[in-house]
Amino acid sequence: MKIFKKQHALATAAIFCVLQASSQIVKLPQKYMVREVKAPEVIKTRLASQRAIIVQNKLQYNVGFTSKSNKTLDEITGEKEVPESENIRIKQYLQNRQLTVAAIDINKIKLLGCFATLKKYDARTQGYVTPVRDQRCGNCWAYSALGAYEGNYKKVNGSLIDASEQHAENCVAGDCSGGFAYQVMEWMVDNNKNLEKESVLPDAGVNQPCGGGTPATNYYATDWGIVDPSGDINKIASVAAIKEAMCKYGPIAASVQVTAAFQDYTNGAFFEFASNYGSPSSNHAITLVGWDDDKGAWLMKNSWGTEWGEDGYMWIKYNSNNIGRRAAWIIAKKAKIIGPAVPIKDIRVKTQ
Amino acid sequence: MKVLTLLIFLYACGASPKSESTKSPQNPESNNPADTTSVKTDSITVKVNETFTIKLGTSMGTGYAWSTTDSTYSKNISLDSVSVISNTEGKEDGADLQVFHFRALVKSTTVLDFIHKRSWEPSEKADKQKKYTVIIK
Repeated sequence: MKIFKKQHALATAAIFCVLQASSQIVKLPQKYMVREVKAPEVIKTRLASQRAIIVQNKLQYNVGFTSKSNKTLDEITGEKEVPESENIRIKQYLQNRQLTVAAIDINKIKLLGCFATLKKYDARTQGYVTPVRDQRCGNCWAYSALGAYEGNYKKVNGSLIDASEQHAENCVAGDCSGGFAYQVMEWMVDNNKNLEKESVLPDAGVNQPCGGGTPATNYYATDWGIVDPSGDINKIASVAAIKEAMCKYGPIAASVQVTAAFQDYTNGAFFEFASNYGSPSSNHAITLVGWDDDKGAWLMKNSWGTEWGEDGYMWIKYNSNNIGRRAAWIIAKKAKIIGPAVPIKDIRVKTQ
Repeated sequence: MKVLTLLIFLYACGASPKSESTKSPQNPESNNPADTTSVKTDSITVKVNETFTIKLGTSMGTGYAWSTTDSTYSKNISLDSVSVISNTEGKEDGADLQVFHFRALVKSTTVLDFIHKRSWEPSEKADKQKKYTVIIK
């Protein structure tokens, strides 16, 4: 056992030395170094190859523990967009929709400490971000929408909640094989639907029928919208527009293009390919919760658990992997406060 | 050059078009780590220097991807490249297709062992496994 521990420590030290020898690469966190010691040779070879590319291109992130092939992974985009007819429908819907009175009032108050002109903002530090979740099937879109909703709920009602992604998945057009965050928002607002609590209806990792009845929660929403002023759901919203929206509404639901390198991300500011603003594609929905102009990057909350990336988060360059596509916001309904029972005064008029 | 293409559609979280999907409580193709999937083995017969591809369905947005479990095959088979045909349906967490491009090097019988997992999670958490016996003549 002692010999094994010694070998393990030596191997960890060796990886540490190799990584630090590449002075331009972002330092790998200890937990990833430990994992890498146990990785098969094929994985170590692939990581070395990826790190060579990172150093060569002076990129500011790192990769770790993987079990995929050690060859270059080329991305071939074959994505279809949200159908044009659907895109037009959404644009018209949003053009015709006025903000509710409640939403106008709520929007007068910005997120604590948030100004779009700031160089840095992190909604986590102000308590607007619920913990990182771990999706159990292809329902990222539900986590993305509810990440935004739960953040806005905190702004409106002052408390952090954990709403049920499974409930959204059961009742919205999407399912375990994919969907769109905006559909959750539209379903909640247009149908005056409230969400169940996660504790009552947790993520089962499978599709389930939409149950009848109304959950005993106040998790309603009054308004939603697309960040890009054009109302085009397929566009990548500008950095300025997303910052403004974040300060107004809280965490923003958005999309990104996931690749093998994205999956292997451990830390640093990720950049893989320049976003295609003319014709973007995406295959994953996430939540944006902050920014850092020094890094030139968004702080992105993922739904892959805390073992991925920087405790479940990624810093991703503003112009990388089509991040910011399908950016959307949602406003939670002001919850009715049901206070404790108060003795009622006897106001009956006594007659003589 | 003759190219042998083997299309295997194993969708990580359901790759069927939306119009065909059903909201069933029993979805055998979920990413639930608790799901158990028996290991299926198919065989591929090729000649030396022939190229062949193996296509495996996944959903990159879930964090899951296919990978070979080791590189012991590399004495007999070369992995030339891996590509991904992304999200042909346009949905977030929709179906992607990983395409592994191989080349047969020497006469042999080799097993290619694939697992479907998240790269940062241990192999025990893999939700699917697939084996191919490659006979090189």
